[in-house]
Amino acid sequence: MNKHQYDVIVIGAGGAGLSAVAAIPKGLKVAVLSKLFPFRSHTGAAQGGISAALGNLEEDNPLWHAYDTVKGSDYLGDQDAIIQMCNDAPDAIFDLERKGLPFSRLGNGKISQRPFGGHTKNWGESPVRRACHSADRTGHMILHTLYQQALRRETNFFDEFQVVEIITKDNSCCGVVAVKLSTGERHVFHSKSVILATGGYGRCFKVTSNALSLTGDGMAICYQKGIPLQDMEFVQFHPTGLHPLGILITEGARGEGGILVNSRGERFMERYAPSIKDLAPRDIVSRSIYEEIKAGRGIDAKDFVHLDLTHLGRKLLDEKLPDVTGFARTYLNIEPADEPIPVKPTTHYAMGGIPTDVDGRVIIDPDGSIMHGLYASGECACVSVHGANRLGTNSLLDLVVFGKRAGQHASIYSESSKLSELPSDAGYDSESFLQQVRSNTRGPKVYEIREKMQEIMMDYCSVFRNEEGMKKCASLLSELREDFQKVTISDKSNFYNYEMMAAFELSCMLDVSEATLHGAMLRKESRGAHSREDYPDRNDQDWLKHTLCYQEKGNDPTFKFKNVNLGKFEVKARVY
Amino acid sequence: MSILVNLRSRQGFIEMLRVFRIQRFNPEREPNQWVDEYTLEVNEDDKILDILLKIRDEVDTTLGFRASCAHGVCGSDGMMIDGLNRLACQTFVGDVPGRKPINIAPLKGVPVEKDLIVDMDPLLDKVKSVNPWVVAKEHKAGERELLMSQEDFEKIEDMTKCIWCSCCTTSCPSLWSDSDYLGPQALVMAARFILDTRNEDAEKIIEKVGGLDGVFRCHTIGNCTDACPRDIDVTGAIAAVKKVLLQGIDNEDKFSNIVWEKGDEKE
Ligand SMILES: Cc1cc2nc3c(=O)[nH]c(=O)nc-3n(C[C@H](O)[C@H](O)[C@H](O)COP(=O)(O)OP(=O)(O)OC[C@H]3O[C@@H](n4cnc5c(N)ncnc54)[C@H](O)[C@@H]3O)c2cc1C
Ligand code: SF4
Ligand code: SF4
Ligand code: FES
Repeated sequence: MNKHQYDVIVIGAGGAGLSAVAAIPKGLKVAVLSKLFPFRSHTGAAQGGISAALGNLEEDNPLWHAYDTVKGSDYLGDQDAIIQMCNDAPDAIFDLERKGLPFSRLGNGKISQRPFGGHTKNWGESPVRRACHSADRTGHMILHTLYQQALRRETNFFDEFQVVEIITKDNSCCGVVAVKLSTGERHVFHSKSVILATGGYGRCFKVTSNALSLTGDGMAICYQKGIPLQDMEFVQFHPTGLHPLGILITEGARGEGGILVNSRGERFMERYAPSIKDLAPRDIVSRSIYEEIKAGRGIDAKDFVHLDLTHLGRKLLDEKLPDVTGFARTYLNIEPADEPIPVKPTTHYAMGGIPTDVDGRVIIDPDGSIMHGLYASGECACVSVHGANRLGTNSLLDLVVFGKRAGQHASIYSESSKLSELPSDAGYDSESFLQQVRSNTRGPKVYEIREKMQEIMMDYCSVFRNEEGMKKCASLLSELREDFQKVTISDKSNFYNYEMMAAFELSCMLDVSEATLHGAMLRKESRGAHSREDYPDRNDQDWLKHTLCYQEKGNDPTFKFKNVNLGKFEVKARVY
Repeated sequence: MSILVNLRSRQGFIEMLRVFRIQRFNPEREPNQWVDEYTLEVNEDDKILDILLKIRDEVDTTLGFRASCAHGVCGSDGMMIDGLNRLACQTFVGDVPGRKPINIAPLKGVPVEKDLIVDMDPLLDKVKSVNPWVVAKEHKAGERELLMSQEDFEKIEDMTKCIWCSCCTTSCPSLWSDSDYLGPQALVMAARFILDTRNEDAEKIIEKVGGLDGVFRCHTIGNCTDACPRDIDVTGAIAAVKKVLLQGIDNEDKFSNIVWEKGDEKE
């Protein structure tokens, strides 16, 4: 096995990983490992914007932003972390701007801002323009800008290295094991600290806006080592995925004035959220779309509605929404300036993930005990600033704010600590897993199990959930886990063996699906994106708390509960 | 090798049979490239990427290609489809008209590693060599943005769309004949950072692209612009670099490097 030693290693080179890198002082020895080339990361797909109360067009302030985020989270977000994020937001934007990010501009040369779902002024009064953007390619610009600056700093990248295991010893983390895709060689990266920034797990579901690579690796490798996953039952379904592919049409399209209509041509969001209508938070809009479909008012009585942009005019579409209108043309042959776009909810974002504090340190129990040297940030982490439902534009903000904080804290930690000795069984688990897969014969293929998993998660564990369906899903899922023991691959080589890595990714997806499903069965209330038909109301008495899900090998996972940080904003009914 | 596969169609009915001829390479198995032929039942609107995924999942799991976003924004799956460089996730069966076999091959002019996977390093080294980044004063807490006019933003907007897919550079005849040529991808990045009014280091980039292997190797053949999946005016960007080299930077510097401090009047 190849061995490397570093002060800090960063796993994942999307917005979160690269923000961490930018915050690490030059004197430290740093390596960045990514299974994709950094500039292929899915941060590049983010379209609509990144929020900050800059007030470039109208009065705004960070506390309004925090209030909206708390309310959007259905009060499950931790208020201290949310206030931290919203206060840090303006500086984070200006910092990105100095790094070269080409923001769209206003007539006076300042950064342009537009409205987005759930972002309001004056404590929910009316929509506010808070989303900074570069046309509808904001994530692409963030990703490339941060990568360019990392090149400028001569960062040490290990591209197409897939991490398959974290190495832990007595509540501290001392490195990772990675497979080099081109050769199949296993490498041990021994380090003082590790920052996980591996993104989400949308590919557990059949219809998703997420990349093929978003398979929950970082979360799963923690979960396998006894680290809990927090609030996994909260998965965001974005209301406007292109029907039937699931490719995203940004909420910015509604921010610019687009509206949703049903088969009667009715602007139905006026009924569900009278004050902010089409700009209501995503959980509400997704449910409303399904209510319309259930009532037979889907287009042609089918399972989609229309997003109408025709009244905005071609000029605005070309200027403000060039990419998403391009997607409609390319993938559906529809001209958005002339015809409405068919849309339906698509699996989009993981609110849950690896529990951390505001410095990115990974937490392993309800008391906040730390796994020393291990950090997480971005979509794979749960700080928690998004609670039960994330507001649009708050993820990109989360990446840059908490990515930076994780980078800073990991640096301080690494400067003041010594490299601890590797345990004698370092890398044993992943080695035996890969061996096992390689030696299996006559079992199911990877894609067979994957497709079934994606189907049952979509059918029973998406926008609406109930006990009966989820019980069925749980027994199907454990059958799939059984089957997976025998999964068989036919490519036995070491040379760009994607089939082997697909088997590893499937094992990760089965793990995070398990945590999501069991969390959803446990939580007997409806809150934010988690909507139970059999428990339609929010229940603060019993459920205003975070879940921590622990893997029990061979059994159903177990749960502990963690308090929500409240105090600043009063917990109220959530109406828009 | 020739194989018949049934591709489940989205619409639930099958329109036609098409033959896909995929160029393969695996030095562990064979020193030379070969072609495998797959006959699939497909629809006009099936994506080429979905066909490759289908083949890799169900028929030959050793088939090598890169892909991630599946909707044309990550730049992973540039390849030569029916003789043209394009992204597999943005190309449809119907884009290759008629019933002829659809040829799929790796990008040209760079070493092939396996099947449709090429060695990206030589391409990335070219891009990195032009200093593709902005050098501006460090941001300090409390300072606001550097101002930039929407016009100045629009001057670079087209080039900032680049997803580093390398479809342009690997379609350039000048590069095929001289592998030292920087190529259009690096030049688009050079243009993007030379014309950014906030960049204090534009001169350094100008020096780098003016040399022997730089911008004057381009003969304005235009393959690159045709190949770009992001519809970037690649030759236009190269022309802009040439113009800067001949005439110097023509930035009106309207707003650049003016810093708005906290507490400035808002309008
Ligand atoms: C289509 C779309 C549009 C969006 N639009 C917006 C928006 O407008 N505003 C907003 O705020 N949010 C938006 N989001 C959400 C936001 O973009 C994501 O949550 C965010 O980009 C995630 O960033 P990340 O850095 O955590 O992960 P990613 O950018 O997904 O990066 C993950 C990284 O981890 C690496 N990796 C993963 N597994 C491994 C492994 N095993 N070993 C090594 N490396 C690994 C990958 O190579 C990659 O570099 C959008 C999301 C989508 C899908
Ligand atoms: S225009 Fe220049 S860069 Fe583009 S293909 Fe022709 S020679 Fe190459
Ligand atoms: S200019 Fe176009 S073709 Fe060339 S790398 Fe960029 S996106 Fe790809
Ligand atoms: S897979 Fe991302 S561009 Fe095609």
